[in-house]
Amino acid sequence: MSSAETENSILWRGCRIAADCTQLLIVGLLLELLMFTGTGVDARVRVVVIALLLIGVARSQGWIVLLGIQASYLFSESSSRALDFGLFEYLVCLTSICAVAYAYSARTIGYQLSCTFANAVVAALSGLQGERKDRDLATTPRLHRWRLLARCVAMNIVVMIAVFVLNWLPVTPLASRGWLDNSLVNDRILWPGPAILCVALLMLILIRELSWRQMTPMQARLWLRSGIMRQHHYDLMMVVRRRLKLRNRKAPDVKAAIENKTQ
Amino acid sequence: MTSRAVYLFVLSLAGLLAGVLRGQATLALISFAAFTWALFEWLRLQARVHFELPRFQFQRFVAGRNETAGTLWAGRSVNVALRLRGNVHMHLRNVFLQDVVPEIFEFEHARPLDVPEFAARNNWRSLPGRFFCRLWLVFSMRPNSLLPDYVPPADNWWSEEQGRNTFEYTARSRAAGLAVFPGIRVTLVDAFGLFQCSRFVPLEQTFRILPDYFQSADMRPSVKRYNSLPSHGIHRMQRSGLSSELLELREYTPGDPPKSIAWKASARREMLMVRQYESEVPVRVQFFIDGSLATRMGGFGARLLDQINYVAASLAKAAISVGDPVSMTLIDERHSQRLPWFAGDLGFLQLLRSLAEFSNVLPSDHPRLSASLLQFAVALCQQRYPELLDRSYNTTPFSFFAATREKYRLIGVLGELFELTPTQQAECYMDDTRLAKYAQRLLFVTGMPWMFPLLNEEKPMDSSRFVPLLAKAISRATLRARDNEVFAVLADAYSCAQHLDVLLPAVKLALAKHNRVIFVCPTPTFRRPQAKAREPQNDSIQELLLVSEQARARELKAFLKRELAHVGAAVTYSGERNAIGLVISEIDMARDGRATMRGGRS
Repeated sequence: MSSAETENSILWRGCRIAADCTQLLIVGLLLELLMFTGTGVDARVRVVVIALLLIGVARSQGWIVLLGIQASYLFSESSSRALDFGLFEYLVCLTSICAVAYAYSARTIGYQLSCTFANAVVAALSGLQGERKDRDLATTPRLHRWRLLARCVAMNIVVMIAVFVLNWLPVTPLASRGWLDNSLVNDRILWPGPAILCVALLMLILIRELSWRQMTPMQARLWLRSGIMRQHHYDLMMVVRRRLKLRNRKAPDVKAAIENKTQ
Repeated sequence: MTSRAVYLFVLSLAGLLAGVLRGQATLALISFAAFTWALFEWLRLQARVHFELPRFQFQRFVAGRNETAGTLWAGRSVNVALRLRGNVHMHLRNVFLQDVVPEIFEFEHARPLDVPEFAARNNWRSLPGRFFCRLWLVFSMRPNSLLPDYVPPADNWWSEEQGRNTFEYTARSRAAGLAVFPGIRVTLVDAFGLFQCSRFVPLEQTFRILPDYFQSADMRPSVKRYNSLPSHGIHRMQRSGLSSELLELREYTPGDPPKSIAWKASARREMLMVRQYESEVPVRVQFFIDGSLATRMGGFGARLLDQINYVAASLAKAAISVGDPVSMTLIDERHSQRLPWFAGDLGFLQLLRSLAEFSNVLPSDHPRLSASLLQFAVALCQQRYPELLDRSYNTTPFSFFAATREKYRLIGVLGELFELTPTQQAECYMDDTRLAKYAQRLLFVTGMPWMFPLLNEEKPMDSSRFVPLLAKAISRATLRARDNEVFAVLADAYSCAQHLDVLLPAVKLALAKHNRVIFVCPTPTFRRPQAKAREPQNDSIQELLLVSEQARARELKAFLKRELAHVGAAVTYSGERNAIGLVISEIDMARDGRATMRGGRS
C-alpha cells in the first residue's frame, strides 16, 4: 500500500471514529433531554445512566434504551385523569422510538453514517490534493438517503396510529366517562368491548392467515404429522412400551435358546 | 421472532399497562408506539416473505459448469459461483444467504469482514446467528460451535455491493468421495433484527471427487538392469520379443518376416539385416484397500483412507503408465469387493471412481445415542431444514423438560425426512437406539465425516472382522494369480498387528507362489515413525499426543517389520512418496527377477 493510500486510510478511519463518537454524543444528549429534563436527578447519576444506555446502544440492544426511557417517565411523570396528547408528547414519542430504532441498528446505520461522513471528508481532501481514490470509497457501505427517509416516514405513521388508538380507546376514567356519555347521547353501544374484540379477531385471523399461506409443503406435512402425534401420543406410547417390553423379554430367551443349542 | 422482539414486546406491553393504570400519558404513548412499531416491522417482513422469497432463484456454477452431476479432483481448488436469477436488485436488502457447502470442501479464499455485524439470537438455540443489513454470502457449512478444535471451521464472509447478482468463492476438496451441494439457506431479516424467516432453497448438485495422485517421471529408474538368469514370468529381459524397444540388429535368416527387415541398415552393410525387439510381459499389481472404520476416522483429509487413496492412485498411475495392469480388492468390516483388471487411461479413471465411491461415508453398525449426537443433528437440521424447526408447525407433546421437547422436535423432523410412520416415530421417543440410528442416517445423508458422535464408546473399533476378510482376499488373489505378481496391502497397521496370526498364513501362501507382498501402513500423524523416541517440544496437548502416537507407531513398526520380514514381506510406514517409491521398487524387482535391491536372487 502506498503512503498516500495509508494516509487516506488513517484519515478515513479517524473520520469514521470521530463520526461514531459524534453520533454517540448526539444520542446521549437526546436521551438526557428525554429522560432527565425537569427532574432533579444528580448529575453523576445522569452520567452513569446515560453511559449504561450508550453501552446498550453500542451493542445494538435497543430494549435497554426503551427500558431507560420508560423507567424515567414511570418515576417522573405525574398522573392525570386524561391522556392528553399534544405536539410535545408526539415529538417526545417520535424521538424515543427513533432512539430505540437507532439503538437496534447502531452497528449498521451508524456505521453507514460514519462511512458516509468519512468518505465525504476523504473525497474532499483528495479533491483538494488533486487525486481521487474512488476505488477505496467504493468498497465501503453507503447510506441510502431515500431508505432513511422512508424509515422516518414509517416512524411518523406508527406514532400517529398510536396516538389515534389511545385517543379513541377509553383507557382512563375520564375517557371512559366521556365514551359512556357519548354512547348514551348517540344511541351506540356502551362500551367498545365488542368493537375491540372484532378488531382483535380480525387482526388475529389476518396474522394467522398470513403465516398459514407462507407454509411450505414440508411444513404442512410436518404440521399434520405433529398434530397426529400430539393427539395420539399416549396411545402410541402405550403401544410402543408394550412392544419394547416384549422385545426385551424375548431377547434373553432367544439368547438362552441359542446357547442351549450350541451346547 | 428473535429475542430482541420478545424483550421489545414485553417491555412495551408492560409500559402500556403501567401508563394506562397510572394515567401517565407519555409513558403509555411511548410504550404503545413501540408495540405498534414492532408489529409494523413484522407485517413488513411478512410482506417480503410473501412477495420476495418466491422470486429467489439460484444457479450454481462449479468450475464453470452448472450440471447436476460432475467430477472433481481431491486436493485441487475449484471456483464456485452462485448466481441469482431474475430481477434481484430490489430484493437484496436484509437478506442472509448461506450456500450450504458439504463438509468435504474447505475454503481457500477468505476475505475479512468489512462491516461489523450484530448478533441476535433466534428462537432456536444451537447455531450462533449473525445478522446483517446488507447482502452477505456466508459459506459456513456446519455448526461451528459443536465441532472439535482440530476440525477448523470454514467461514467466509463477503460483502457485496447492491446490484450485483453473482457471488464467487474458491473451495478445495479435502478428500475423495461424494460431495453433494444441497442448496442455499435464505434468511430474510428486518432492518432492526427483530424478526427473521429462514427458508431452504434446494439446488442439488452431486460431485464425485476422485483421489489425487503423485505424478512424476523420475520414480522409475531409467536404466534397465541386467538379469542373471531368467526366471518364470520375468519380463523385459534382454531377449527378443514383440515390444517397441529395439534389442539388436542381426542378419536375415530364412523364415524371418519381411516387415522386420531394416532396409537402411541392410543398404549400408550390403546384406539383409532384421530388427530384433525386446520381450515385454507386464507385471500385474494387486491392491488390497483397507476401508475399515479405523481408516475412516477423522475429518476429511485427515483420515488414513485419504493417505491410502493417494498411494493407491499414485501407484496405479505409475503402473498403468508403463502398461502394467492393476486390480483392486476393497475390504471393510462387512464384505470385500474384488474389482476387475484395469489398464489404460480409461481403466485408470474407472479405478479412481471405484476408490471415490469406496471412500464415501458408511453408516455405523453400532449406533449409540449421545448428547453430542443430538446436538449435531439439531444443528444440521437448523442449517438444512430451518423451516421444519419452526415451533408454529413443529408442535410437540407436552413435557416439562425443554430438552425433551427439543428431542421431540428433532424426531418430528426426522420423521418427515425419512417418512416414518406414527408408530416408528413414537418408537424413536422411547428407544434411544432407534433414534440414534435415524440421527446417524441424517449425518450420513448430509455427508458428515466420521467423528466422535458416531462411535459407540462401549464397543471400541474391532478389527476382528476385517482382518479375516483381508486374509481371505489375499488367499483368493493368490489362487487366481499368475506368478511374480505384486500384492500391495494398504491397511491400518494397528488392525494388522492385532490379528497378525490370521494374516500371516495368507501372506506366506502369496510369497510361496513367487509373488511379492508389500504392506503400506499410513500413520495418523502423517509422519513416519522415527527410530529414536521423540521428546515433547512443549506441554500442549497436540505435542503430547504426537509424541505418544509416535511411540505407538514405533513399536508397531518394529513388531510388524520383524514378523513380516521374517516371512519375506516388505512393510513401509507412510502414506506419501516414500511408500510409492518402495512399491515401485518392488515392482521393478519383480520385473528384473531380483530378490533384493542389490541384485541377488533367493
